[in-house]
Order: sequence, then C-alpha cells, then structure tokens
Amino acid sequence: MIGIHKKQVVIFFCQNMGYKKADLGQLLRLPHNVSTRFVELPCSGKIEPQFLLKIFETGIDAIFVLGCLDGTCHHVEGNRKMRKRVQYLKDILGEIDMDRDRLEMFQISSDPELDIEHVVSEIDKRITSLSPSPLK
Amino acid sequence: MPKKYHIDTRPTPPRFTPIGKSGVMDWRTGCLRCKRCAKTTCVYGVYNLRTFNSRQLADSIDYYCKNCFRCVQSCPVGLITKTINPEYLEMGDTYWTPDIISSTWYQAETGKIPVSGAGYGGPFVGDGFDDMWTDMSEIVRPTRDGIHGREYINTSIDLGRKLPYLSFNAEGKLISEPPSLVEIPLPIIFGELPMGNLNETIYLAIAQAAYRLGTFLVVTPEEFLRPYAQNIIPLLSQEVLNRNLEWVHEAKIIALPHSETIKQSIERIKTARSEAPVLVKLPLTPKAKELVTQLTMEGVDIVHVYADTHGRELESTSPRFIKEMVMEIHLHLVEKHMRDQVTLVASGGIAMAEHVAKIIICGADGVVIDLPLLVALECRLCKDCLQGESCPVEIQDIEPDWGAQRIINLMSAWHGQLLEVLGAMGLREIRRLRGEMGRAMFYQDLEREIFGAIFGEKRGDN
Repeated sequence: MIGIHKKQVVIFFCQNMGYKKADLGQLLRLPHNVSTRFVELPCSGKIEPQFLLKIFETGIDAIFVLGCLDGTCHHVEGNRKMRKRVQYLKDILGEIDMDRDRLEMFQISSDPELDIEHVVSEIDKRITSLSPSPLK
Repeated sequence: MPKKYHIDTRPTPPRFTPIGKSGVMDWRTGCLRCKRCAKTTCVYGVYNLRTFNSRQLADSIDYYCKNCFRCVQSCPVGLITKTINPEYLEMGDTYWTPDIISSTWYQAETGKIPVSGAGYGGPFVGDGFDDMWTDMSEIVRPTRDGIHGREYINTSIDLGRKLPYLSFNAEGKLISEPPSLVEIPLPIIFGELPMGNLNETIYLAIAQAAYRLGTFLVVTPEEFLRPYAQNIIPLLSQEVLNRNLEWVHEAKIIALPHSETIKQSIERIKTARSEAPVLVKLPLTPKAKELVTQLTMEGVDIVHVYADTHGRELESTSPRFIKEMVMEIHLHLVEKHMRDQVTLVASGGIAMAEHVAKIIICGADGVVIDLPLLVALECRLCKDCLQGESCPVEIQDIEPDWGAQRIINLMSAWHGQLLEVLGAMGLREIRRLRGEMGRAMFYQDLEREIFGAIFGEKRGDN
C-alpha cells in the first residue's frame, strides 16, 4: 500500500532532449519515497498553462518541466514560450498562496559536456523541502 | 433466402482518454484574436471538444484530431503546429504497432471499418502478413456496392469433421452417418488471454460477446462461465477434470490440450459423447505438421494450432511465421487426402481483420483471437501487468456489458472488412477462400521468380 504522505511529482519532458523515461529516472536520482510520473511531450511548449493548474488541483506536490536549451528548440521557440508560461503560472501560484517552488522549468540537454548537476540537486532540494500540497 | 447475419453495434466510448497519434501544439503567444480563428472552424470541432484529464495527464485533442491539417494551414499567424505524440509511438511493440492498437480502439468504440482518408504513406510490403497481397480483381464490379446490402456473402464456417465420401447400400439408401458439425457465423473464435490483470468480469464480457455473436470461447472452464455454457469450448486439462465441473461435459465442442496421452483422452471423450466434436490445442512447433496429420488419423475433429503472440513458431531456433506454418500443414493434409476430415483453426499474431482473410487463404478454416479482445477492452499492451504492476486503464474494473459491446463492435468491423475482401475477390462464401493461394501473391515468391534469375537466390537471413 502506498503511504498517504508519499510525495507526488509530475515531470514533463521534451522528446527532443535525447532522453527517454528510464534515462531521466536514473539521471535525476529521485528519492524512493516520491512517486514520479514522467510524461514525454513532442515539445515542452505543448503543455497549456491551464492544464498545469488542473494538475495541481488533483493534489500533485510539484511539477517540473524539462525543455531544451535556448536556441535548440525543434519547434524554434517552444521552450521559450513554455518558460514564459511557467513564469506566469508561478506568479499565479504565488497569488493564491501556494508555494512558487512547486513549479519550475529547467533547460537541459543530453550533451555529455553539459554539467546538469545543479539541475539534479535543485530538483532534489525542491522535492525534499516541499510540504504536502494544500490541495490534497 | 436465409436471414442475413447481422451484428448490432452501438457506440461504446472508452473509459480513459486513449493515447492519440497527433501532438497538436498551440503556441498562443502572438495570437491576434482575429475573426478568422482556425480553432473555431475545425471541421471536427476538436478544439471545442478538447478536455484535459488531470489524473491521466491526457489531452483529448490528440485523440480527436483527424490529421486534416486545416488548422495548421489556416491560422493567419501560424500559431498551430502538429507533430506525432511520442507517447503514441511508445505503445505496443514491433508487431503490435501503435497503428494496430489505435485502429482496434476505433473499431471497438464505433463498430465501423477504419478508413485512412489522409492517404497511405507507408511501405507496400513488409514482414509477416504484409508480404501477401490479396486478389482485388472484382473490385470494379458494378454490384460491389451491394456487398453490405443486396448481395449475401456468407462468413460462416463449420467446425468438425466432414466425410471424404458418402456410402449407399444396394437400395440407394445412405448408410454413412454424417458427423455432427457446429456452424459459427464468423470464422473467428475467442481464445484465452495471454496477459492482463484478468478476472471474472473480463471473461464474462468475452463469453457474453461470444454468446451474442453466436461464436465460441475456448477457455479453461470456471464455474462463473456456466450461464454461457452453450458458447464455451471447455479446455479439459487434467486439473479441470479433477475439479468435477459437471456442466463442461455437456458442451457442444470439447477441447483438450495436446499431451503424450492424447490418444487415450480422445477415445475417452468419444466413448462418452460420440456426437461432440473434439478440439485439440497444439503448439506450432517444427513437429506440428506430422502431429496434425497424426491427430486427424486418431479422430480429432478440430485442431487449434497456436504460435506466440507475434505469430512465430515455438520451440525453434529460427522460427517461421504462422502463415508459412499453416500453409505447410494445409498442403500436407491435402497431399494425404485428409484435409476435409479436420477443421484447422490458427491463433497467434492475428491482429487485424485482414490477417483473418490472409490466414484463411493460407489454409486455415478459421482463427482464434486473443490479444485483439484485450485491446478492444482498452488495453495499451504496455505489459506492466506482466511485471506485477497495476493496469493504467484499470481493465479489472470493467462492466461486462460494456466490454461485451466493445468486442461485438470490433467483430462487426472485422466482419465488414471480411465482406469487403470477399466482395473484392468475387467470392460469396468464406469457406471457398480456404487455401485459395492462387488468390494471393506472395512477395518473396515474386521476388525470387522475377529477380532470382538475374541476381541469384537471396542470401542472408531470408
């Protein structure tokens, strides 16, 4: 039986980053007490802002969007548009008195030269520090 | 004229938003709020129907979209883009492709023949069943429009043994006793499911569908299936016989798994119930050809040969495909003058309606299907259940009526497609299609005949 306080996280990621679900699970080294759902998108810009809010409504603790680096979007500016949406939604979260840290977009790629340790540690930090969603 | 076989279909929507092929992307930023919004003029109204299921994390637009690209072309600022949903491409495997799964869902939902209006962009030949082209020479016939209406095309098959000849006495009276035959209106029998979080409800749904369609379900019998006893072919393994289920001995057809002692088992059943045809379930191994011949001589009426879920030969280092195996068995029986003494049904890798027609052309009388039934019940073939994980579409919680209707819809769509294939060939009986290999072209044979003389035999793994 899944514990009641198990944290729930949704991670959206762009298919063009070069990662698959299994790779990301390994890469992000998520703690075992977190239930994570990875959703692969054709582009990080696919997800509509109101849909993210709807996901929060169901009591999800945090949503992370992983998009491509600037200038490398397959759809030219999908990642840039998504970043703006995330900023906008973070403001809304702030206004309704939810933790702004529950939503974040990170831009990474599977380039082995690129150091993404700060992203991994940031996600880890966010997950460990978050209190359960007030909407649960 | 006998009453026409008709299947009652009813639209049966899925319980979960199916994974759609398209990935529609609407950038929004830069929208002029103009009066010519492409989203309001969608022919299928998918933007109005659009919902987001926040528990499944599924956007319904990807399922409703019909790929007409009208919105992509008509947005004045070009804010709509379309691509393929990566989650869609991850469904199934190399044999059970996302296209097969999603078209099965469509058929199970609507009961209609799937039509791809956006043109066919794929290859014209492939592996397995895709290297067969069926005869469509009669497709231009003026009465072609009548195949679903005026003309009667029969898709029934007989299960059981037929006499090679009739004997009469000196007064001209028939003395040979005709063996009992069981007629089913579709050349399709339902089989046991190879995976899934299976429970009573799922089998009840399948049994109900078998009952309403007039076909059978070959299954290890359980007490809960008793209401549908007339449409069950009980698989009597030793373990079942020990359980003492009385009603299974009354079944119209009795099935046995193949074993070393099969001869004795057949004799035992024949003594108890001489009129019931006996079906033997036999794996398609390299020895299958000899075993089918032997079983026929021992008095088996129906042989059910099964390959794995991809239609590959079992227990073989270089497995052949089911169609080659069935062809070999059929031709061997023809050579031995005993083809009509046995009914041959095949299973494994039958994923689409065209596969039914194709395997019948290769020499089977009918098919037994398993995975398409599961897909009709919304299965995504993710195989999570084989790892002991929970089912993403909670298949264990279905309503039997809903499940039965989805299966009936699928069978109606397959029946419609069989009529199309038979109509295009100018046949009026699916029984006539059996072993009609002259009605199909086999790519590998053609390649050998045409190019073999120039380039020599094909080398490598083929």
